[in-house]
Amino acid sequence: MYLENIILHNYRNYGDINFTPSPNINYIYGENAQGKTNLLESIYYLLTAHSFKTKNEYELVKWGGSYLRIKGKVWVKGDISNINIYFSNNKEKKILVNGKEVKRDSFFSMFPVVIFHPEDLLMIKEGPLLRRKFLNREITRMYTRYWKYLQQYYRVLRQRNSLLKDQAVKRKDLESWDEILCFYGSKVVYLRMKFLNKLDKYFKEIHGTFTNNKEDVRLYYKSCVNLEEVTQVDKTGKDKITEKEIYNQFFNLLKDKQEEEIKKRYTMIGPQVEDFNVYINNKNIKKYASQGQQRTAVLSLKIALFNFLEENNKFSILLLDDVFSELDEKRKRAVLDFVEDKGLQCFITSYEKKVIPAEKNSFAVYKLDGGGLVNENSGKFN
Amino acid sequence: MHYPQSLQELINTFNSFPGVGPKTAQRLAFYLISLPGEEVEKMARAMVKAKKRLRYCSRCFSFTEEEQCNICSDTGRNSFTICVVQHPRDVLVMEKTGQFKGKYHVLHGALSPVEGVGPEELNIPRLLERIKNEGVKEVIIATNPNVEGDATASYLSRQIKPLGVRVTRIAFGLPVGGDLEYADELTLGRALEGRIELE
Ligand SMILES: Nc1ncnc2c1ncn2[C@@H]1O[C@H](COP(=O)(O)OP(=O)(O)O)[C@@H](O)[C@H]1O
Ligand SMILES: [Mg+2]
Ligand SMILES: [Zn+2]
Repeated sequence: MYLENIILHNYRNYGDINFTPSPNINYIYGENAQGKTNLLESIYYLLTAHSFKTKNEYELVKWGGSYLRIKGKVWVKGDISNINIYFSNNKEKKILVNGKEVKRDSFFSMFPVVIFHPEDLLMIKEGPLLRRKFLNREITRMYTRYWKYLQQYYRVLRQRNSLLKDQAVKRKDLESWDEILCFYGSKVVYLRMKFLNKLDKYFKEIHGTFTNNKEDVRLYYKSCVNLEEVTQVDKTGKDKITEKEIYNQFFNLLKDKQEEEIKKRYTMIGPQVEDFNVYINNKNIKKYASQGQQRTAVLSLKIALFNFLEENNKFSILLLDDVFSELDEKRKRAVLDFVEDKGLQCFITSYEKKVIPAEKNSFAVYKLDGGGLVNENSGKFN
Repeated sequence: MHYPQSLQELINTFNSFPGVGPKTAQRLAFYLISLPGEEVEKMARAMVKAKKRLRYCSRCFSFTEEEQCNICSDTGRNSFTICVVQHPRDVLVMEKTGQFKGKYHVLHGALSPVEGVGPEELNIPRLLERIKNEGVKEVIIATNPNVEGDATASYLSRQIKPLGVRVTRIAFGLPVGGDLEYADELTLGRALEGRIELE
């Protein structure tokens, strides 16, 4: 997949811009606050109708403006799609693909894109919320049914918690919600485990490349159910997670916790409290790794995601915002080699130009200055 | 500009209907006043008549003009099977399949703690009484195939099973998260055949 053209009107600090990037590597540099992150955000927004920076979409409209418009042409497996997103301050929002209106939920997994940006580091440094968000977003992209399960799960959870808030909750009333809670909950947990197991394989591989095999990494899903017990060896000798076993454990655990839940007045177990950890050489990265190590690990995770998507026939665009700030020379090179070898479309931003080695002359280099892009290869003004 | 008071009142009335927004309410109001006087009076009479005459069937809680609805008083139908539905309109949906020959019980909703609806707010105690008194052998639960409908089914099954009665749930082929109302006769007919035993 690649982006042929993007047109912004009133997006963040951009008034009007018409950008026709290279189908390969686009290197965009410029001083602080020139709109590098905003540009990557707009590409991400064009392809997902979500911002990776904010939940409040008003922020995307240029100050003083009342609406924004993003248009783009995207090639997917030999077919071109025209995307048109319109968004106004009075909450009106329209997503059109080839002239037909598309709902946001189904649009989200239509055009795969992977972003790495500096704030992704918080995913490792902070509590489980951002990690769960990462899972929910990326699993939805991989297995569309996941979103439906998650929504249904939260609907049951809301009902059950509302019941638990009642001081005089009856056991038989509570129990009538348990089966349906476990039904959707086990589907959510199952897909999270399956997703992380697969992602782990790509993660190990790419992180090995980036670190000269000095760091062995691992992803580990922290569930209420016992991972070892729900994983069984199947006929072909492979590990297989069994959804039924997750259901059973979840259901039994709910019974064990009933007393405590009635006392505490909320549902204590389930995907809403679960988390995953990243390990480097068997140590939890959150506590025992340097900032640079953490940063490389997040980058590896994002690239692993890209490879995982690719293996599932979803060839995505890669956005790397400010990726080089804390990487040493070797790692910078490894990243550049990776994107070049893949032959994928990639957008890299940086505050300096000198990162690109002389022989990487296939890069399209742009200078960003006050919301205007200048192509330095051709001198053409975009 | 303000509309005359009576017109505004009419618009507000329509606006209070479920699923009717201000624009539709306006259109309906203008349509109504464009009709001949006797037409409007006929409509008003129909409304008042329906409201006056209709009441809940004392047995199944569906709508009726008598003490009991014509399904409950039909001696040709078997009383051993009760089909439990959420809403009176679901009775009609089930009847259209032509495949069900038992009786009904209308809950008038589904369990929903968020909205303060518990078993006592539904006609569940009356259902349990009927099962005990009417020699019921099977209860088919046809609540909506969504989270609340499923929890209601689970609750009912836990209450009814210990009475030694077979409990089944129609589930086959119904859209997940939907309303019974929107299931067509064919899928519902199949659903009825493929009903599953509740554990
Ligand atoms: N809605 C908006 N309207 C106008 N300018 C905005 C808007 N949102 C952010 N900005 C401006 O965009 C600039 C930041 O752009 P950013 O893409 O983060 O820069 P960088 O090049 O450092 O990545 C800031 O100067 C900010 O004031
Ligand atoms: Mg930036
Ligand atoms: Zn009746």
